[in-house]
Amino acid sequence: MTLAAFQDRFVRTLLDPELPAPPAFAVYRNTVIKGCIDALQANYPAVARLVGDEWFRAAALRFVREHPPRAPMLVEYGEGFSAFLETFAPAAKLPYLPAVARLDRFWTECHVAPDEPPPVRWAWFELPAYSIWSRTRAGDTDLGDIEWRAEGALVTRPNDVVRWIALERDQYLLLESP
Amino acid sequence: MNLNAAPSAGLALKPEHYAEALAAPADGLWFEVHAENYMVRGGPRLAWLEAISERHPLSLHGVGLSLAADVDLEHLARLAELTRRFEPWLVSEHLAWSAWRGAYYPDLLPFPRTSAALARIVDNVERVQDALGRAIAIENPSHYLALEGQEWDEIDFLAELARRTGCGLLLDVNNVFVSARNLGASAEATIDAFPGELVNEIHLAGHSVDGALLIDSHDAPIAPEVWALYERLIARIGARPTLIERDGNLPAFSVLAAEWARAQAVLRAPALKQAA
Repeated sequence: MTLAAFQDRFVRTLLDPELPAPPAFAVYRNTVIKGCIDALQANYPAVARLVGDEWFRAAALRFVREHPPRAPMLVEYGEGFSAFLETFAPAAKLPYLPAVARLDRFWTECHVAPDEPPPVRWAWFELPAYSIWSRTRAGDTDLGDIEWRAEGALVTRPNDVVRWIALERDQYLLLESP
Repeated sequence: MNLNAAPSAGLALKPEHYAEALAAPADGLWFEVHAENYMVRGGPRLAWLEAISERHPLSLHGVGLSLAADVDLEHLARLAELTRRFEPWLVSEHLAWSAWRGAYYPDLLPFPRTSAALARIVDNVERVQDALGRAIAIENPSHYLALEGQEWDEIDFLAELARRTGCGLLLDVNNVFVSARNLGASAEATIDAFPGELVNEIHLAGHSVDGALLIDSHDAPIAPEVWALYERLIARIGARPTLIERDGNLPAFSVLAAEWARAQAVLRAPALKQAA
């Protein structure tokens, strides 16, 4: 068997748990999947905190199988997780989750962007995604008093620290104006 | 500081420990990072690494070149840029593959050591060394599976790779221990047969137990058996820069510093033994 044929077969076996393999092959299956899920969890900390470890890792497993990493820089892995959550049936009861994922993604994008010009991302949400996200990100688990209203958010990195603020509607529209 | 002239111990650097790493006494302490974690366009990661590398020697350890498959030229360019920027005392990679047909698998995957595989890896190492303008070091991987179709013993394979490309070797003592247990070989025999003159860095790490297998998990203290193999190795080949490699289940910096001090003590021992 050529090296390429070996690699084709190895990858097929890696991704399909139904294919027969020696018991030790499980180490590779587990390590690859765990590596992807760990990276996704590190990049979406607010989502993970809101839904808990078990829920997050079950959702992440589905995402990883549909969208495996294309490059070894896992610090940027997980683009599209917000869109995935929008179509992920178990997330339907948590309508703010895709927006929270989007804010986690804004954080990552600002974190790794070039220093000049300073990166900035903003969005408008029809629900209090910014309040939920910023308080979850700060470790606050009691979200019972959050006022249910539309709000915007701006995430930026003016120097070495990622920062964020809430946006009122007019501020958001100003940023959106050409 | 010349780590080859005065080999000392180093620590794998994690973001959780940036401040303590920067403040640590320089006293021979060097740091190693996974190159891929710093392939970003800006931001605090690069700023921290700049600051720490001004006070301590730095090495880059790649996990994504996929030398036993196809080297992605964009990825190689990123590694070359990082190498130019930080001027690490060593750049290392693995005898493994992790990317295939456009997908990345975050693991170090095995392959049968055939002459065709050797030719492929020789080409790839030469391409990397040309792009970086320097020799790199190649690490022995951990093994879990006895693959069919092996034409080469691993040590002969690594030595031949070094002979054809001029690369050095990174000897991971924990990988030797884990592989020997998993495949039913003698770790002592492997350590004793490893070509010491080619080794320019050593890795020490912890492993975990999963049923009948040992897993190279880097999430536990270095095992007593691995310390014993390390002392045996240093007594035979002399001191080499040695990394305490902890990736998961990260303890306090002081816990890693204690492992660092133990490796540092072993590195200073051969001179005493030779003098006695």
